Amino acid sequence: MLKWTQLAMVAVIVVFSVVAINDGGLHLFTQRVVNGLTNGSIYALAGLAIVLIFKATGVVNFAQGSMGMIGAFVVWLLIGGDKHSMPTWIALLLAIAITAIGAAGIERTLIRPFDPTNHLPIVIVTLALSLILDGLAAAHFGPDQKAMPSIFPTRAGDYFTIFRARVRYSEAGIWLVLLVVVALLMLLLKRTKIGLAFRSVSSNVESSRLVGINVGRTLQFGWAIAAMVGTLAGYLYATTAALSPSLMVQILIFAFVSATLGGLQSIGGVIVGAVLIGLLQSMLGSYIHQIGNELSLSAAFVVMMIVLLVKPTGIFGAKQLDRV
Amino acid sequence: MALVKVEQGTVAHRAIQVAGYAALAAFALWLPHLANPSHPFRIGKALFQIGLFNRILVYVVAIMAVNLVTGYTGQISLGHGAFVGVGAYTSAILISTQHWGYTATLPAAIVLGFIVGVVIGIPALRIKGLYLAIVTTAVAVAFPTLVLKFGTITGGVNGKKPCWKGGITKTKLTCPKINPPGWARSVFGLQKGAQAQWTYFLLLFMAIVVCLLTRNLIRSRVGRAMIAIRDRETAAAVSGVNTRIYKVITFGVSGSIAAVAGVMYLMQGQFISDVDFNAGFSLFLIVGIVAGGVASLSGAWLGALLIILVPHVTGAFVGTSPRPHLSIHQIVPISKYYLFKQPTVLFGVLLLILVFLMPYGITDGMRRLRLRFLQVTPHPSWLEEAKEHAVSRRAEQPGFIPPPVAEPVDEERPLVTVPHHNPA
Repeated sequence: MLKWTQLAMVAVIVVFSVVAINDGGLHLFTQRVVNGLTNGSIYALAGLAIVLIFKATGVVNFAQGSMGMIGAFVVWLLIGGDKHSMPTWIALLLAIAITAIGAAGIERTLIRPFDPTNHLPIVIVTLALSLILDGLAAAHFGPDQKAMPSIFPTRAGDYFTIFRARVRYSEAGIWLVLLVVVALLMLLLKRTKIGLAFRSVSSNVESSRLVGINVGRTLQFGWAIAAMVGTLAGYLYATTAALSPSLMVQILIFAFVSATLGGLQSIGGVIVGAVLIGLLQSMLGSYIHQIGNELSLSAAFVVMMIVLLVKPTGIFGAKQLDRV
Repeated sequence: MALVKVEQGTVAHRAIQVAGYAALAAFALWLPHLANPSHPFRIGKALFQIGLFNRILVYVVAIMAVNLVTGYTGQISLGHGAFVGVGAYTSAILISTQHWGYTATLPAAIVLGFIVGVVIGIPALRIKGLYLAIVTTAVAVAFPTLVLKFGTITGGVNGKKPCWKGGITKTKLTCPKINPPGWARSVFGLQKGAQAQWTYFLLLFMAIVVCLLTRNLIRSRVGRAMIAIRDRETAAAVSGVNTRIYKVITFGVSGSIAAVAGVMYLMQGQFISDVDFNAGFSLFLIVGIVAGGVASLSGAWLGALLIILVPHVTGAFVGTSPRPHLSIHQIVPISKYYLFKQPTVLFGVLLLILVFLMPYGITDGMRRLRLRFLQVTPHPSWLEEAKEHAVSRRAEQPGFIPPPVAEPVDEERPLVTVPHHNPA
């Protein structure tokens, strides 16, 4: 369906790449691609968390950013701050488990009591939750930034080159984590019973209930999975930037935009959308001087709007049927 | 059961209505005196300042603008902060470059708000539901960056004052003053040069005018079309509603109202900067709608009260906002509890409690509370008329069996929107 739009997009990207390589040279171009891919991978992880909850409940979780931030702080607490009393990767796995349990608890206590078809109160609940989590983090950890150790080697010589562009192991690690997460999610959703239940609930709540699926439990599972992915996103972003209570504010917006671009329902879509947004952000601002750094965000939004005008349900979104 | 039952349209019903409105009016006129430090009923020494009430009035109008699009027409907009910003910056730029007064800039802001609203509304014809929500969020996020980008006109990070350099030496900063004229001083008991108090009355007047105009719009053909679009867009289109025109008009009118809110914002603060109109501002307008009551005019007032007063008071409890003279956090030392060191935590918790107690907003909660004491039943003759009308229309169809006569409904259900979500 609408093959020509996809072709047109590819054509635009190819033309832009040729012009860009001609303008600044191959080295600069590939380096910017690498940066864009790294940012895009983090957006993709955060966006995945949003898509998982949206698929299940039809609600956009505004607390996702704060939950990811809290996850990153749990890692920080487990490794004992600057003391590094625990290997980082163990702390990360523990933090993922802890936030999954926490998110399941949040779903049970704060989300499930509400009528699932009335979305606005639930949106307010997630907003209130994000206020509370942000406030707690600010109260406990203070506003100053903290360095987060990476689970990948980060010494000065730890990089390899593709097309003369430097790819640090920590960057390649982020791409790898994204691929592994997507593969695991696909396995989980397509090969396990709970995954089947999840897909069933996200397709039709009423029918799922009729065939005996415990809808509440399944949605709880969705929240837990989303929190796990969100914690990963928060941790990885904290390793590239610095850990602070306002860690995920901007990432959350990019994650929303990526998820929307991909179609809000599709796991593959959010990855494509996120990588696209990451690349757009690093390319548009640096190659088109009228846009510059300040407007790279707005430019990415404009592209999103154009894509949505052509395909109102995102690149991979299913067409919505409306019945009277 | 209710203690008292009143029939709609009777003298008793009218009397209750008039008494209610009179009480509200008296309260509104008394409010600015609450902020007076020498007032006997003041709370704390300076807990409530007049600027706080002025800000509430600005939010009332801004929330009404969002309500028109989101509450009545069902198009979720998280980008109205940008429209408010457009109004505020239009006014500020016109005042500082053309030396106009506030009221003179109002028409310009309204027109520009309409245009921007239409421009954002046109994509809304194709983009729906949550996709639209995200697109409008993008507008809200992009607006401050645009302000920074065009810093030469907007003042950029330094913000903008509605002032210009005048005088002989071109160094004296002159700003249009909002001074109460003589009649107003005698009517409202204001002192000479009581700018903030007079601003309060001006903003109150503007908010009431916008409220009445919105009410009339909702009750007109256009408003009914908007509600039809919200409830079932396809059905509305089939019934002959031109959904495209009405959606664009709604966005335009809403943009205009938001721009008015922007001018009011400038009037009360006399200073604007990019951070005033960030994405959080737009989000809080939605919080105000849901907390107050979706698709409800009184909900806009209550929602605005909530989203301004609650953070203010929680800040006071924690001891961050109005710093001088304030003693609530010493009386109730809530900030000693570790969990509530940050005011946002307390605000979030209160918001959660509110949504749990009244998921359909404060107006609905108050309506349910009122129903325990006072029940307004429809006038029997109206019910008869409506029933006959319905029966006669359906009786024309073949195979019609008259339905059993239903018990009269106590009161109209609140107009609560449930954005239609259809996971395909």
